[in-house]
Amino acid sequence: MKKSAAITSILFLGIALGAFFESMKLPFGNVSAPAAGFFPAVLAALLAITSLLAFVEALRGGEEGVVQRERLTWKKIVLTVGSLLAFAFLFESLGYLVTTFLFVTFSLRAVERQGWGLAVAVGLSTSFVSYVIFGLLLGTPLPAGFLHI
Amino acid sequence: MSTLANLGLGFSVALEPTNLLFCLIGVLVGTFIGVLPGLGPIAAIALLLPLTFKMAPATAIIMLAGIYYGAMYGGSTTSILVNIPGEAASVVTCLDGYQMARQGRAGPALGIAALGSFIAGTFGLVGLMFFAPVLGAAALRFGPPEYFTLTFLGLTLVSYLSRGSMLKALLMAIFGLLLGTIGMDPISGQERFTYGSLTLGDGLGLVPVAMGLFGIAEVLDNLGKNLRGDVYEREIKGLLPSRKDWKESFWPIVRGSIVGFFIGILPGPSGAMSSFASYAMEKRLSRHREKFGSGAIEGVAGPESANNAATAGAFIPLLSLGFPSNVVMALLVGALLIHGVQPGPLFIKNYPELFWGVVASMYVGNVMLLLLNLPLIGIWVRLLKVPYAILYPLILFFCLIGVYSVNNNIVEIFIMVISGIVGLLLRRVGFDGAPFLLALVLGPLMESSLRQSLLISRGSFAVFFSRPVSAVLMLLSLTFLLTSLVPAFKTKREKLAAEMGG
Repeated sequence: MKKSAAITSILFLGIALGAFFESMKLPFGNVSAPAAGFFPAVLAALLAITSLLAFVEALRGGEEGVVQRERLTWKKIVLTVGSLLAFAFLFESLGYLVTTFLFVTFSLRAVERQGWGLAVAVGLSTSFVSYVIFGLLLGTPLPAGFLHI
Repeated sequence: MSTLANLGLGFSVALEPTNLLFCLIGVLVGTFIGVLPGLGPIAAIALLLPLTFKMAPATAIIMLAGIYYGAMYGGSTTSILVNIPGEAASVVTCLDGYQMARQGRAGPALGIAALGSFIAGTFGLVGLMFFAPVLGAAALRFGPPEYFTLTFLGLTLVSYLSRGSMLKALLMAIFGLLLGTIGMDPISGQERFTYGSLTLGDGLGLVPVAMGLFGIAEVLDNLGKNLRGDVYEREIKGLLPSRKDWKESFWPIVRGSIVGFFIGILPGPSGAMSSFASYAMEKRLSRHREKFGSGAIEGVAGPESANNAATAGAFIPLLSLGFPSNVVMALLVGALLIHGVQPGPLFIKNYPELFWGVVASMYVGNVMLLLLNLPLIGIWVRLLKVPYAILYPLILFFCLIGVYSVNNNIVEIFIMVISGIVGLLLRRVGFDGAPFLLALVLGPLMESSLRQSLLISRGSFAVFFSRPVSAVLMLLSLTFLLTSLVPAFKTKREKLAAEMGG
């Protein structure tokens, strides 16, 4: 885990340097009249310094804060993240009801290996009940999609 | 006398049927969301925010405030019954509350949590009533240097108290400030780091980032672990604490209320901070210290009171300074601004019916919570018995709809998912999300107050030390920063932070 903290610090250093060069493109002003680039440039410099220090801390084995936990089941995480992204891509074209049904059913069936019956039942009831609550009662604007509801 | 007259005005607003109804909806939704792990008040407020656009401003704030303190109530229920804190402020309640439940005393634990919260909430409101106008009057003399040092103190505090290395916490805070500069420059209006994205033009949204970092990351982290624990199975009876329970809880509730309230006023993560402070204090003062951790009722009564008093306290900087001390408060500022109401030193004077109406509604809401929650506990227990495998797709779904409904913008769903992944990875290598998020909240205020201060002082940083209020705040922050470097203090801080991190 020590290695991961060191790698993270280096990534932050990269972000800091990138942000510094980008903020140099903005007008900096001066200390008595700071302009748009002032604050980001100062922050990028501070971020660079702290990430270097964090790198040193990680190398010296400053292990505080890295909590050893049980291994994560990455397969489930990848599937879930994928379904979240799919939800975002499909939401406006397929519409609220269909996307919600697909999302909930997929999570239950493919990620959690629940039975088809349960997955479909929960998927159907979630999409309809939430549609009534958000769409009809609360008036949340929801995309209708190809079903036009 | 004028306070009484004002309170009369407040109740006349709070008791209007519409406001009563939305207060009820707010506290119910808040409790519901507080019970569900991984869904906090931010998600609930995001879901209901669009609904408030069409409401009167008082109704909107009454409902949103109800969600916030309702969630505090709900969070304690899950801590006691399943040993899973519904939200950060109720982490300590798990320690003794769950033990009490295992010993068959779930009833008194839930009862004292609700009653203590009620008493503390009421105390906090009285405090709010008296302190907010005073601070509001004082705040009229607050200039940019005071606002800058206030944000500085908030960020120092949250880094000081975050788990693990303070260096990493500071790094996260700076990173949050940096990402907070995305969007329009608050002073010149120039676009920064938007690269042509319309969504980023308004800045990186708080709601998607907060829900990603905490909601989504939490669910992803829990995936595949057996989270359900043991829901307390036996029938819960005897919610009313006995005379002995009362005797043991009385002073913890009083102390918790006072400590919680004053911590609530501070900028920073006041909810969690106050409950930890109260727990530590009760443990220290107790004559039977060894009982803590194995079902001491004081360990439930104190912290639960403290976090409710802190909720009321947190409204003080919001209403009198326009200063949001957490994401929820920042969302409330947003809700007020939509209605053209500017929170700040003139708020109480310009909108008395709004200020006093919201204060009075919190009294009403606290009574509702007390009356509703004791009988509703059975329903919450049943909800907690639903397996996590079925619950979490629903939690994710609430997050998706919540984020989308704020701006009807798909891009914000992507921002949420990305924040969720990044949050999960960072949390596993020991970088805490809390300082990052507070920095994102306070960033714009910090930048504009810093630049205005430097304009006033013609570039001299002495301006932060030459004005009394700002000097005190600055010295406080520097003390926290510097003592974290001294070895003797360093171990103490780490111990404190480790306790806070659970």
